[in-house]
Amino acid sequence: MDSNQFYFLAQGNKEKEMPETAKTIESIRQLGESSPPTEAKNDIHILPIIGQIEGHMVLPPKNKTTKYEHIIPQLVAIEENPNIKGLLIILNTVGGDIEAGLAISEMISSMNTPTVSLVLGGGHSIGVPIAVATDYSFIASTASMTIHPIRLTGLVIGVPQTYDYLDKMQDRIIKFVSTHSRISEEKFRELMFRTGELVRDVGTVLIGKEAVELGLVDEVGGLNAALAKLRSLVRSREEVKQ
Amino acid sequence: MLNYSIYPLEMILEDYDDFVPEYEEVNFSNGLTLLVERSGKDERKIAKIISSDPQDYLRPELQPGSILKSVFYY
Repeated sequence: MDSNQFYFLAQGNKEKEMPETAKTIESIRQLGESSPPTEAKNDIHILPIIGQIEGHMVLPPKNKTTKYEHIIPQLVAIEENPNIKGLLIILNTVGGDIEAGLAISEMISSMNTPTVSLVLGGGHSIGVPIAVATDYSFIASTASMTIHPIRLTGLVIGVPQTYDYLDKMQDRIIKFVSTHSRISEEKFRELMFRTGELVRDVGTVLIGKEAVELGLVDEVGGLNAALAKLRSLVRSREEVKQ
Repeated sequence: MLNYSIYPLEMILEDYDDFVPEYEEVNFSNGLTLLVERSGKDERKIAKIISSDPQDYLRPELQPGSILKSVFYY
């Protein structure tokens, strides 16, 4: 059997549906052409960013992860697809790889397609720049965002260079967040290093409206508010085009 | 890897040494390659899409985690 001859069968499909799928593949084989790009059924797409943001390392399977190698091309596809008018980003993340998180944030912030983010359970650590990267951001009233310094685990050689390096990495996050939200660089840094709020750690937890009051997120709201805002952004974008 | 997460790294990387996925590449159609993981005798789970056409990444049947079944051709 040629291992390259595969046809796809979505999970849950019944065995008897196989020949139909096989036919499609047969036509792909004969015409040398795959089916045209999926037509967007809904003009608003969602991008859930859930669990750990996975970067250069494949994490053990017990982690729920959002993989940047999938998200980044999908963002390109969404930007390029004329049928997709708006993108809703739903965040419930505990953080993850800095480079991957910043890459996703930069992609989102440089998109022409209107984007709205909604922080649901939590948008912690590297989830913060992703939440503020969109055109408009929402946070559920019970959702939280943890802002804390970057930590190193394991053996850390305590030389000034180590500190400088971490400081530089932190600066990247602070700069991104302060340029894409109403919070100032100084205020965000202060939140990051505040003592007495987190158990055995420095940093701050912001819940719902606290994030809005500090200017990190634009508004407290849920799904209906986020979708209504996205629809209005799409409308005003289309008016500009006309 | 520099991780910025509320979870400690030792918790994220627990059992990391035991985790050795077996990947192989499958030519799916012109210009579209899939990186698949063995999930059964005649089954492969899509791990990654390799394509320069961005719309391939939005195809619902090719989303990572979907199962491909291998069949004989008649």
